[in-house]
Amino acid sequence: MNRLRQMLSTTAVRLTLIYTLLFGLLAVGVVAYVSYNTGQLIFSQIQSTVDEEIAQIARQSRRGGVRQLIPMIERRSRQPGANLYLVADATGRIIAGNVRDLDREILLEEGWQIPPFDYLRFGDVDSESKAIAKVFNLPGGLRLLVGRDIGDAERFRHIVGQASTFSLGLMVLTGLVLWFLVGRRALKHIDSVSRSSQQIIDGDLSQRLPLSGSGDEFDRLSSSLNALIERVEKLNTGVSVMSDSIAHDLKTPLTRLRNRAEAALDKPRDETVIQDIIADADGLINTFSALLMISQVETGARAVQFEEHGLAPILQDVHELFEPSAEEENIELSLTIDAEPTVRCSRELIAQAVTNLLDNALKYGLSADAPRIEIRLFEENGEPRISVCDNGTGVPEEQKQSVTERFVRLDTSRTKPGSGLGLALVKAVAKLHSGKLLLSDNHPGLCAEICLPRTV
Amino acid sequence: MHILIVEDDEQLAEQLVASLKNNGHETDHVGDGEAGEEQASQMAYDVMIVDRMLPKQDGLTMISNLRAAGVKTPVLILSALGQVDDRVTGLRAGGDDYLSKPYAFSELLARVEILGRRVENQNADTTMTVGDLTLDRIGHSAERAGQKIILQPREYRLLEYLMRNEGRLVTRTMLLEHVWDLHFDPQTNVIDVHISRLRAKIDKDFGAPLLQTVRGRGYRLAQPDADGA
Repeated sequence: MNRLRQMLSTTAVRLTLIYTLLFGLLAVGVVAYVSYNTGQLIFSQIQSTVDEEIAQIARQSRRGGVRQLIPMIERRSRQPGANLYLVADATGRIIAGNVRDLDREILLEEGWQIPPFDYLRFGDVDSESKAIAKVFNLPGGLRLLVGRDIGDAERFRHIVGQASTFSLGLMVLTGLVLWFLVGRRALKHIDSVSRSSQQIIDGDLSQRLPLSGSGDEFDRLSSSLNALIERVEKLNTGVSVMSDSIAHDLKTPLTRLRNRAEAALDKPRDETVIQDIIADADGLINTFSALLMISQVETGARAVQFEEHGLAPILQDVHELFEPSAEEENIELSLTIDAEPTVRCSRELIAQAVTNLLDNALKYGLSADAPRIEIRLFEENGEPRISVCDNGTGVPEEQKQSVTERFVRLDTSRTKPGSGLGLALVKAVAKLHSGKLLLSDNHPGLCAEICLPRTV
Repeated sequence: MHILIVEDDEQLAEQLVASLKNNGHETDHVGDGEAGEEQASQMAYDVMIVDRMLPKQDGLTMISNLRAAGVKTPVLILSALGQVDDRVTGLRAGGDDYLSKPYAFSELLARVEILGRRVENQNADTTMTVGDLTLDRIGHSAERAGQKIILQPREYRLLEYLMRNEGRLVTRTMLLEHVWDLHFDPQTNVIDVHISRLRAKIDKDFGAPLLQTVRGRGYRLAQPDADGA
């Protein structure tokens, strides 16, 4: 019962029902129209035959009188397939004709007796037949009735009626079967989809919606939903991996912070302990800010305002900012500008990304003798590129992918300061600008390249 | 200075009030945007510290209403929102400076003190003087004890900013913002190296140093006798 109600509420079933109903109504209309018209046609044919015959009889009886009328009627009555004939006197007694009995009332009024009446024919036993007839008054109080049995017409009408009822029935039945099949198919499909969805809702993101393989609209819908689920699963995995890393990476500095605070309790006058605590807290704040910024840039949730900026001035600013520090450490920091593209970008984010690359190069990119960092701005196939290359130890090939993930650091001992978020932000910034971050080998060292899309 | 704090987080506000009082400032505190607007239009403050997200009326609306009403008090916006573009919208609404949470109190204090002084320094002369150091704002050069000092363009801007805020603490982030127009914290010591280069030029060959390092916080340019250094 429940299942039936469920089935009744599906769109396919509703449509089938509506179509069946409309079709049935239309068919009933057509049948009614046809049979009514057929009936009318037969009636009018009968009427005109009878009219003509009465005219003939009237003519002849005028010529030959009543004496000739009776034999003529008798003769006509005996012809095969004859019409109905009846002559009665003023009292209603039947004098001649092939009608044995009928309702005498009919004879009282001259003219057509259209509603079919019952009568008995000679030779018929008991079965009454129906006929329509015309009554005509003859001189001498005699009445003449000429009519026609309408049994044939009725039978015809009956056959038409039966045929249409049968075909109608067949139509409705076919409709119902179709409805059942279509509805059940749709329901089955939807049922399996909702079962899988329920599992997904319950947390099993590895589940996928079933495909029938027919490539119909259900399949198309399911496969787009599957793509959606896949993306959600990916994001979800990303989130849980990230929260693991956050937990892991923040635990250490938090523990350190806590222990230093404890130490400060013991030695309240020791300023260096307090300074260390502040430094630890700052480190944590920086990590959080970087995380926030990455997720903001990654989701693009807050639309970052892009403006037209020349890339060269941005790089010059950053280069100028870092130049003294590099010199201090005897690192040769150079800036080469081979092209001066103007790009719709966020100056802030581009500068931050390049700064992060420089930070990394300064931290990890230093070989023992003659360390060198080169910032280069150039175009390749019309696409602006910013590269920061060092001649340090570089990144092993198999780790070039993973170092751009959050909290992934080559320096697994984590002795150097850093959050492990630098390259993740650079990647996110590149992506936000519809570009990408490429890491390649500088033989020796690392080349980090921010590739931006071609400017229009 | 007389400072109005508009902040709905009671604990944070209390902390701010106490810390500002410790540093010699007088404060008033209200907890929502409507009260803030009313308070700021009735009383003349030196600086307002406004949280961006406030009950009844958000901070930005409050600031633009006040600006429309002709209130010119400098505003420092505090925000828990991220940094990417909020600064721009905040400044566009009429804020004068922007600090995102979590912030260091020393950073906030430095910014507030500089905001409060901003008006006094706006019509600065063509030269600036701190002790025996003079900055020529037209020739972009400096002179100390009669000796000419050649400055690189960036060094000039750095020194100009420090001198404009004579005696005030300026943080590294503030220097990066005003001298390089970059609004993020480079994790390395890049600013320190620029400062030590500047110091080599203006302090090294002269008696008492003018450019002081405030440990863990930033820098201050001041007359030696003013600070006893």
